[in-house]
Amino acid sequence: MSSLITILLDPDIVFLRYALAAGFLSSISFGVVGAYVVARRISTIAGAIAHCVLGGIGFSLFMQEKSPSPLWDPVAGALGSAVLAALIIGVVNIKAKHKEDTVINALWAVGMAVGLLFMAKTRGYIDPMSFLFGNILMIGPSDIRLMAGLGGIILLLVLLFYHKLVAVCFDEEFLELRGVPAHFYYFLLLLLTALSIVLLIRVVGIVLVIAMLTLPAAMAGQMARSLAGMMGLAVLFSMVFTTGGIALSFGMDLPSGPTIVIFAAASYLFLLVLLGIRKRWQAQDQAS
Amino acid sequence: MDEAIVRFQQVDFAYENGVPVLEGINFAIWPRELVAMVGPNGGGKTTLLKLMTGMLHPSSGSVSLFGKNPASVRSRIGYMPQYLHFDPDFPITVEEVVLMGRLGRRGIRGFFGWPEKRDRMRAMDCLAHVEMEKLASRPFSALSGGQRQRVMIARALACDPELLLLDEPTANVDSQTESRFMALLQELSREITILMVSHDMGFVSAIVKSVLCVNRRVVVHPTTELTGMVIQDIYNCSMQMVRHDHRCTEKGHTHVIPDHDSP
Repeated sequence: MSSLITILLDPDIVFLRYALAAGFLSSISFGVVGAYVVARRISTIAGAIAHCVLGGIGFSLFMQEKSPSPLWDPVAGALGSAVLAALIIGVVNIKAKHKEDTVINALWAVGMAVGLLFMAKTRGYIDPMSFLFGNILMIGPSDIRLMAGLGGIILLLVLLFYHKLVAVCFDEEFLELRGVPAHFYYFLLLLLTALSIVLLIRVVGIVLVIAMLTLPAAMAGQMARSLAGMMGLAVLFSMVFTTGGIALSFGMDLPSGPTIVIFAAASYLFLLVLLGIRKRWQAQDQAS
Repeated sequence: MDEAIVRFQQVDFAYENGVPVLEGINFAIWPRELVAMVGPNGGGKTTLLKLMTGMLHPSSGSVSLFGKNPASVRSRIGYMPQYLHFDPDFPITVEEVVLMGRLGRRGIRGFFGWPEKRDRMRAMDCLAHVEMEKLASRPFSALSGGQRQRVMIARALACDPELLLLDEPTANVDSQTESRFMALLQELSREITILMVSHDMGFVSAIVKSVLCVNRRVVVHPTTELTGMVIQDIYNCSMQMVRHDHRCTEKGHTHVIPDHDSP
């Protein structure tokens, strides 16, 4: 721990400070959007969007090699594919709900396959592992700026439309009956999820992003009485998990993404056990 | 005479599989009428409500609400869906649920959906109508089935509706609350039009003058005509009539259940 603090204070070693800053910034999206994902039960949709991102990244890398241009930045590819996947799922939800499950699972697999095929056909060595599992220690100042920008947009949209987004999660049909375009707010919710995923992939990667979108929010959901409370608690939990995970990975020489996720999952399990014990005690008290 | 609030003219409706759910529906509901809708499960009651709200469109014929296309005037409706419609673990307070009834207002705060002080006051007022104001800050998930039902009624009232549509409003409510709710509906019907779906014939016949009997077709009966034979005809099978007395109202209620022992 003391060596971690020494390194944090060392002006020549910046990567850990960037990692912690990224952890804090990403926690806002993990908590805020995660609360909607858990409450609306769209974690499978978020999973499909996350895996489609690999398709966008692979396509961008391939195109960048064929005709170099700032347009083919992997982040732009990730953003484009995430938004496209969100739009497809949204349209299927509205027009053919009975096929939604099939489409979600198909997008999940096809997104990955497209990404791997493009990467295979791109000259030079590309390691898909960094996209799949992330590496928070490789984050630089431009990533921090991107995270701050996207995080700011997410937070602003959630603040402005909080009540309508709550309503679309709780009872979409009622919102429509109030003359509010419920489908628009459902799309907005999917768009926020897509933006968050792109932002968070640098921290924990495509495969693990779902865990961080759901675990802190699910823990918060056990304690909060409103969605706003759930968001606040989930942000707090995320900050603890990312900071604690980085410290653990640094101290034990482990990859950061998996360590953050295991720390979060262990905490969730611990909370469930605690709540189970409390429930048992309460039942025993009532019986006696 | 006033314009009809709801008017169905020669309406047929079938879902995508082509099986007709409603056929040749003709009826009108007039201002300040309190109407009940009864019929067997799968008879088309909820479909009829959804046609009224513009959530579904008729295969043929026309539906009008306040003389207009239902979708364009649906914000003038207060709708309470069936109880099992919601995720019981959703993290939301009772007040927040009722405030949803205030969504869809005009103005900048209305556009973003942020409630004003008067919206909160109206929400508390509606909760007081169903005797739930003391539980306003409780999580919705911590309430009993009957309490949730009352919150949903408060949400429908918070819309300040001209037409109130209630889908089985007393399904999980105890008899004491039911009789208070009955009095509330009678009071409200002096100003607004109310249509409710119910299986409780006693509850229905005690407060309404006419009943829409739905089983693919619609027949409108005055409540005085609701004899055992008529009920049996609506539900299309033999029925048992269970009479239960409510001490609080000193009125006997008759509940109708299918008689599975009969051929």
